[in-house]
Amino acid sequence: MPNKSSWTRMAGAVAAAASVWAAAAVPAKAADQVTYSKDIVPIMQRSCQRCHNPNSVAPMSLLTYAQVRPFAKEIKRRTALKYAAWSRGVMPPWFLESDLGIQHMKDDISLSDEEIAKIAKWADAGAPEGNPSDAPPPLKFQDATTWTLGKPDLIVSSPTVYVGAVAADWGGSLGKSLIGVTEDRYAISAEFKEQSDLKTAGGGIGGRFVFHHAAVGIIGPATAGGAGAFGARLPIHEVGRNGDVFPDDAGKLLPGNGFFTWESIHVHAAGTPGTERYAHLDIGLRLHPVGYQPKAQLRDYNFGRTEIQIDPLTSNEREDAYFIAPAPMKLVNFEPHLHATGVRMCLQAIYGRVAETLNCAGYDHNWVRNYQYEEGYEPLIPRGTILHAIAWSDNTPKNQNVVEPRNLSTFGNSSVSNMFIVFNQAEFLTDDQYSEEVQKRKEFLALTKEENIGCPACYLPPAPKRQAPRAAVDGAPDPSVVVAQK
Amino acid sequence: MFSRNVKIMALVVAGITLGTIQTVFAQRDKDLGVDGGMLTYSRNQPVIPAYEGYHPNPDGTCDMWFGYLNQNYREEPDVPVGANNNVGPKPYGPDAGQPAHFLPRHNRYVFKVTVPKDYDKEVVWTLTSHGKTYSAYGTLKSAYVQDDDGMQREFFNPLPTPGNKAPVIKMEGDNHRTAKVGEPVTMAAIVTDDGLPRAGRGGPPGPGGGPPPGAGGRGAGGRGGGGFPGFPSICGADTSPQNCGAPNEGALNLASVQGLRMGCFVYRGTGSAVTFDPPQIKMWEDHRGGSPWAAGFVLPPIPKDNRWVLQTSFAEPGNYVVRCLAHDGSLQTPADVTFTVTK
Repeated sequence: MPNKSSWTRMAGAVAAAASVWAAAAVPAKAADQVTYSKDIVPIMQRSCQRCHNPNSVAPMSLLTYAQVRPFAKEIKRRTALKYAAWSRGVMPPWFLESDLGIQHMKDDISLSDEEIAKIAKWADAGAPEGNPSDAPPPLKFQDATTWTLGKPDLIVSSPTVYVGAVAADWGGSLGKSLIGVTEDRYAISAEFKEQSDLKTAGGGIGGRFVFHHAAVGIIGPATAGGAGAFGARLPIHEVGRNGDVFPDDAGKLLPGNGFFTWESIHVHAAGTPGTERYAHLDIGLRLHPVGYQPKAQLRDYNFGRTEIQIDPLTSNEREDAYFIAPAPMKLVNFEPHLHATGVRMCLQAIYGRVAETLNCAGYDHNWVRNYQYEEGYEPLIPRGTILHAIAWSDNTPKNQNVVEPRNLSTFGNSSVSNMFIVFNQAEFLTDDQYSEEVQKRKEFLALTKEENIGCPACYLPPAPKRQAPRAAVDGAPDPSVVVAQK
Repeated sequence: MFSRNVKIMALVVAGITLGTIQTVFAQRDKDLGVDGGMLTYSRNQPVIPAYEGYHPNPDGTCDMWFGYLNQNYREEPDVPVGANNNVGPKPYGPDAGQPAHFLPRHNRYVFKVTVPKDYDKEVVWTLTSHGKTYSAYGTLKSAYVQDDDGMQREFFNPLPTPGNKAPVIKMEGDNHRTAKVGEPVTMAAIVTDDGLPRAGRGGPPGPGGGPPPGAGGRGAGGRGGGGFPGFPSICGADTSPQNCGAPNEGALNLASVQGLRMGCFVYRGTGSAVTFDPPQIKMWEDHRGGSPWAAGFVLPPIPKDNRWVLQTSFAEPGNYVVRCLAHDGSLQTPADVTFTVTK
């Protein structure tokens, strides 16, 4: 039996242990606790505040703890929708599927699994603020003209349209606008921004925006009449779509004294009383310095399908479309375009007997996304590759974008009808340019150890090096030596 | 008598068996994840009625427009107005002027039902064919509103021609006629138009990356050919629409050949019992070829005095409606002639 001193020593040891445990436990708890200031603000700044600020499109600002706190549970719910079917309703709106295809995209605002778990943990713990000094400095938002891709060197505006609150869709041309450069210049990026005098957004598709899409051609000063006759276009603008950053070596040409032609504009009303407005589009352009010359020309290679049949009250309806690469191509982006019934699109590359999935993405007609490959990850496909797009639709009440799921849905230009288009851009390469790109990609892959997706030639052995013809003993050329063609 | 009953019973059994097999095949394709929209069926698929939207009229009423998608490329089913082909509720149906003979594929804006402004109920067209029943639900929900431009764009051309009016068609003779089996009847239609949209295949290109107007592509709708400057085109040197077609033509929008045409077809009655001389052009969307929606199609010349004449023959007695459709490439106007045919 222990004596008093033993008890005393034991008690002292227990107390000491307890104090050690307590000392260890308290900091551990503080370290584990997810707080707004320390953990959530960086996420909000990167992925939320671009839209959730007073001068942007979102219905509420999420800039301060006081603004964010009431929405903690909702933020947890919406971010977790990444794991829902097609990621429908997820915030931030980024639907690229992460378990297949190329994952390196410019301007990727999606949240990682760890970030989503952190938000959930924070919301479940009562959304503690933590120490405000842990937060990074607040972002600076300029004004309503804040541009996601950076301050433009040039802004070109479309003519203004009036859109009634309840009105038929309108489609057509809005004429042309002077670009405003007096000599040929090349754009680094192009970003569309819809401007209107609407103060409160209505519900439904088009509640916030009335420009469903805008196809904008580029014409030179001497080109009379024909829209797009210059043979170039900006990447199409679609409702909710993010802007484009062009490859460094393929800036978009803006001809001196040339025009943008607003050649195919689709406007639709919100359908809610009180949402009539005057609206126009601004295009913000950042420019390469004078004298810049691109190495490659960028152009669109849109393809799709018009014979669309989406039966009433059916889900998982599938449609397919194809494009054959007329030349080696460096794909710059993946931009699915469907309409209200659309829920998913995939893009495959078929090289002979092999099919490889380049990307799949969920689709929400409220948030049309343009996924642009980061440099070094653009698919490099050989001539003759079949690009195969697969689209899925959901024409059931589960899809809240659909006005009347009991009705058959077919191809059409209005928002209740359907489209199936891949609005993609690519550099069309010469054989030499393609070989150079493949070699660069091989070196990049060797460095990064990344999975090779979209570059079948990267698996091939190096092309034979150029050799000077070796003189045979008798002076005749050696027929075993293949001389590379210049 | 016994023999006759056996024959009838055998026919019934055969019919049921055939129907079952057809249903099984269609279900097989569904089970395999193959949708009807991706396979070009020739026959045995049902017709699905479609609601195309509504058009407000100056007097405040609204026209609800219906069309249909016959999933077959060859078969033209006959479904008489009645239990298997009806519109409701009264007073809009059961006979609302809907078709009873169905051309292949998607036929848009086929008939309309006029309802009062602020009509808050549905008008439903229900159709049963090949054992399957489908309905189209017409409502005045705001998303379905269409104006003239919208109808042009939806149907034929993404860039409507401002001010375009639908062609005017006037049939010579009575709209209700009698005819004898095997005795051709002369039909004549005078069709006039405002000349818009301008005939031809030009028009501004859509977002499809096609060539500029006049470069040989089907400009309207961006169905430009494989015109990738500096690279061999899949179309070769000849970029004419006849030779420069799918798959790189874009196929982003419907794009009909622009310009006036007229064609007659059976709207009600046994379609296989009627022949037209000369044979009529396809007035349905056959994207594969031979219709104004297909690459390479050249419009027939407009006849003298804009007067289209044809001989119509009936092989069986019965009641028929022949529809003659005038179309300018963006808007259309039908004219119907009813025939009572006796032996």
